[in-house]
Amino acid sequence: MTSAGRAYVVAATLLAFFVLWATIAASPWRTARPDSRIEALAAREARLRQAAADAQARHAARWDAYRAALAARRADAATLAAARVQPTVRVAQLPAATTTRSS
Amino acid sequence: MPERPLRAMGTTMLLRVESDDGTAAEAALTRAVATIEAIERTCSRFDPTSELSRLNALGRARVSPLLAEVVELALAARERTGGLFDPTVHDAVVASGYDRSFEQLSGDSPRPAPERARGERDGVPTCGGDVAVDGEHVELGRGVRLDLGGIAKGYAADAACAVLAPLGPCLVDAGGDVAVRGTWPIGVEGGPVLELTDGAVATSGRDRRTWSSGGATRHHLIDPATGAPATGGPLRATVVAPTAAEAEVLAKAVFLGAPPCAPTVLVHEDGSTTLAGGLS
Repeated sequence: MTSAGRAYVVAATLLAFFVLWATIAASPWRTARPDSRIEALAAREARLRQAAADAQARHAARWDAYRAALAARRADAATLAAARVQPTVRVAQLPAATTTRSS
Repeated sequence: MPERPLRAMGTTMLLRVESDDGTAAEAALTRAVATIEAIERTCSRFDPTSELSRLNALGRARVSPLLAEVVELALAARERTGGLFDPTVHDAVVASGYDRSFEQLSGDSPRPAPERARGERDGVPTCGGDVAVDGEHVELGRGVRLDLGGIAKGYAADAACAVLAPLGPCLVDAGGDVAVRGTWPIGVEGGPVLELTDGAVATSGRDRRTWSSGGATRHHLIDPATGAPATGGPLRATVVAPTAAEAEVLAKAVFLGAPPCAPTVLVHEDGSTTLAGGLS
């Protein structure tokens, strides 16, 4: 074998060795173990999202109830206002039962 | 005629009902008095244990339907009068020296501290402040406190009158805020007698609830535009309305310069009277 041929063989061997090393180091057959801190953060995020959704639901329910009550009160007030008899008043020459004064 | 005098809400009250059933009338008078006292316990700014005091201290609170209703009534009145009636004048009233119940305001009241003299807190004007009611919660804007004194008194007269009304003609005089069912002759201080049927009458003026502060005479009717006791205008304004709470609001608005939109009697400084708003 010529010296050039030997050099190619050595180079190819070295290349094959490093490729094999990199493959073994990467260990693609092993599943990655998740970080416990990330797991805790993810769990906390899920809890907070659930709490926020619950709070939004409670708020929406209360707001709906308030709007319904407000509509009912406005309807009642409109009915009362329509039915309310305006007071009648006139100046009279009578002894007063009581006297209005600055309150 | 069954009647019940009462000392409540810093004033003298009188409840009367015409009924043949004396026992039922006395029971109704007792219930009406309890109603007024419950409203006072809820809406007094002088009682540190009242719901209103708690709300003023916290800025946000879950409140009873009663307090929510009076606050909503006051806010509606503010809107209707363009701000002439304003329940958020609390700090301005306190700054002018009316910082305790009127019975305790004897002699020369302490001069208000300079930083409170404009009805402000932390530089935020308190008249016209934000108030939000969502039915069971009330939230006050920053630096805002409520004074429901006048309108609560009118509301109490209306509530007591509603308790007495099923028994017959009745009258509730809550220190000048008068609500009646049936026909009653009601005198106007310094003015005519009005024959009033199924309605209410109230008077606002600068001749009562006056005190001396720092050598100057002050009164409790704050002009929300200035945050100070109102100056000028009539001595007293008396207005007739369907309810005492509404009459109280309209009387204050007319006193502060609103045109009379309901039967009105104005009593001036010189003793003369003017009838307006369809009253003649």
